[in-house]
Amino acid sequence: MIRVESLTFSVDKFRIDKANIHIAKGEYFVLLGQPGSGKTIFLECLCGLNTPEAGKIYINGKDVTNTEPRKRSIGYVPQDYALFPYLSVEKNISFGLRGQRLPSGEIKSRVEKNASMLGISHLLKRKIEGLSGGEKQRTALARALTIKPDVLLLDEPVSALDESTRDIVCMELRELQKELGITTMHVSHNLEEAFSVADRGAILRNGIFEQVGSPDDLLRKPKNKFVAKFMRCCNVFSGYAKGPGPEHNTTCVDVNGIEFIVPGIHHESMEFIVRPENISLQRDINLKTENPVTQIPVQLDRIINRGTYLRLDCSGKVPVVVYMQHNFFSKLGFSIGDKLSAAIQTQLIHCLNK
Amino acid sequence: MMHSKAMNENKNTGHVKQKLKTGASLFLILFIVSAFLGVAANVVEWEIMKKFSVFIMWTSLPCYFIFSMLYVSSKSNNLSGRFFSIVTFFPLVLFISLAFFLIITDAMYIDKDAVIKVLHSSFIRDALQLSIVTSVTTVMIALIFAIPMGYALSRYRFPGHLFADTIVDIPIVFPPLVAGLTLLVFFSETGIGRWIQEDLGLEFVFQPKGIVLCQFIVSASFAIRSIKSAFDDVDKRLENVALTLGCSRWGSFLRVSLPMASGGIMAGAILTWARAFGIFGPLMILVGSFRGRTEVLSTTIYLEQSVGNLEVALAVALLLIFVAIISLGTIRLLGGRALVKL
Repeated sequence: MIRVESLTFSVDKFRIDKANIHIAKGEYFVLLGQPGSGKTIFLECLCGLNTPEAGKIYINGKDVTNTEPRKRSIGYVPQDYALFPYLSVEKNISFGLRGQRLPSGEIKSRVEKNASMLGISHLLKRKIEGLSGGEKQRTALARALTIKPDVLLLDEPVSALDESTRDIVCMELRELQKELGITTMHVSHNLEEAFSVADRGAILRNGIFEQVGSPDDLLRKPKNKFVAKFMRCCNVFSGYAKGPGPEHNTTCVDVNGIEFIVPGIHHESMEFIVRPENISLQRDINLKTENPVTQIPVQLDRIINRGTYLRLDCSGKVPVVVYMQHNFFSKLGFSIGDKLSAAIQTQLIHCLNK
Repeated sequence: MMHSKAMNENKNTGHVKQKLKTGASLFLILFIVSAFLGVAANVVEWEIMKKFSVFIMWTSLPCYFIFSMLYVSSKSNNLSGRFFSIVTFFPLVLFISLAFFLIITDAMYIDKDAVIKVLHSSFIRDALQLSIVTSVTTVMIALIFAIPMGYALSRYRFPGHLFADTIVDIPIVFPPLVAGLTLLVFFSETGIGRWIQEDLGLEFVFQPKGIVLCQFIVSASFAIRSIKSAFDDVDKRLENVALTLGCSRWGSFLRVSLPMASGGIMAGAILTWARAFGIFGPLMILVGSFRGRTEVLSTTIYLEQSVGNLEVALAVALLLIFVAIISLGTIRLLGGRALVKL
């Protein structure tokens, strides 16, 4: 549905360089990246608000690289919604239809249909000033959907909402997208938001797509250190392959004098990650297990309460960060300064591309 | 106990504020009524009424300012805050007092004969009409230029943008007299100027068209500056959204940028009109002041005072001020948002 081939665009010193991406019909795609990574610029290229220097953009099989924004059949919801403050909610929603010179009856029925679909029928006569964040977001979405676009482009659509509203709105967005079957690209910097809606996603860094894949792939199989760190994996290790591991298709890797058993056959230096929730902590330093496990002696240095879980920072020859549930932590009865063993199962180690 | 005490204090402060506000409003009304009565009494030569009105006027004005100043300062709950309010409010008091003082001085100087002459003189009626027609025409032409220019200066960055932006402000800075002089030299000494006047038949020197040209040169900058600021304030994303919602560039401009900038456009129009309505220097040089042809209210004042009719000159000045106040008041009431911009 959306195909981007070798898209190049630069503004001031920033450059999107030969970006390639393909989004299937009906897919909900999330473009992730830190602020300043070029997400909005890329989205504006898709909208036709930025003209690329090179490359092609296809929407619905049609080359739209040099097509005006109004002829691309896109529904665009910019960051902070950009609602027209001098118009009522109803006039905002019908803005696109009024330009098409449709009969007033049809405009009214389409506005009412979209407003009722998004639960804002009671707001139609209201002015934009005084609407809550959620109401504004729904109005902007209704305005974009009323023109029946082939593609929906959402730029940080829930970032202006509070935490509790954000979850609900994300859920509603996903349901609405499924119901309409509309191909959607959603730009965000928030992982929870992305995971709650995405079929697939991409991580953008300084105008370059670092990785494209399912949310699970991005989380558990990052291609490089940047993606791993972006997906909040703090345990990135570098070491040297010493020789074959105890099991078939494993390698012993030396990291600061600690021997890790990592999956696959490796030679020379390498990097790998372990997600913090995949590391278990125990008091017994020389625990015997059936599965190949790497054990690292550590000392618990810091406990950070993250609300739903605890982040435990451990120091040692190889420092590690562990996420642990509150109830589990209470059962184990650890305290700061305890000498512990961090156990990592080999199959939960992911090796990064060189 | 403490809570109810604080509530009582708040209630009392609220009452005091309300009383101060009412007092200030009453004194303002008293001042305006007495000013009108005083001027009217002066014109009909009713001496006792005039003296009484002047007394009321000059006592109600300070009272109005004292009450207003206390009302403004009562919004702060500490001494430093109140002092700050008074210091910032005081220059306003001085300025408005000075303006009132000058207008009232004018009004008190004129006599019955001068008013009768102004009301009955066909030349002055013609001058008033020409002033209104030329200034409104100037505003129209200025807007035709200023709206696209303001948009271009606000939206496009090009080599020499700063230079262009500065050039726009030059007519605001240089003396209006220079504009008249430059235009006179242009039309009489340069080939293009003579070609426009003689071959093209567009005569400006000593012609009513010249009035509009002078007014335009001197006042259009106000419209351009104000409209540029208004477009600066229009969020570009609104225009972008309009483009994705089926608008062309023209559509986005007409349906989004223009309505969003309407306050600034109105403000620009008011400023341009005010400047165009009152200019005098360049007109005297380029078009002169021919009775019934190129005479506008501002030049009437000069002509009358130059032949010793100071009362008539001041009566015309009052007429000019009256028309200006009525027009500005009406425009501001109609376009409330322009108030914010000015």
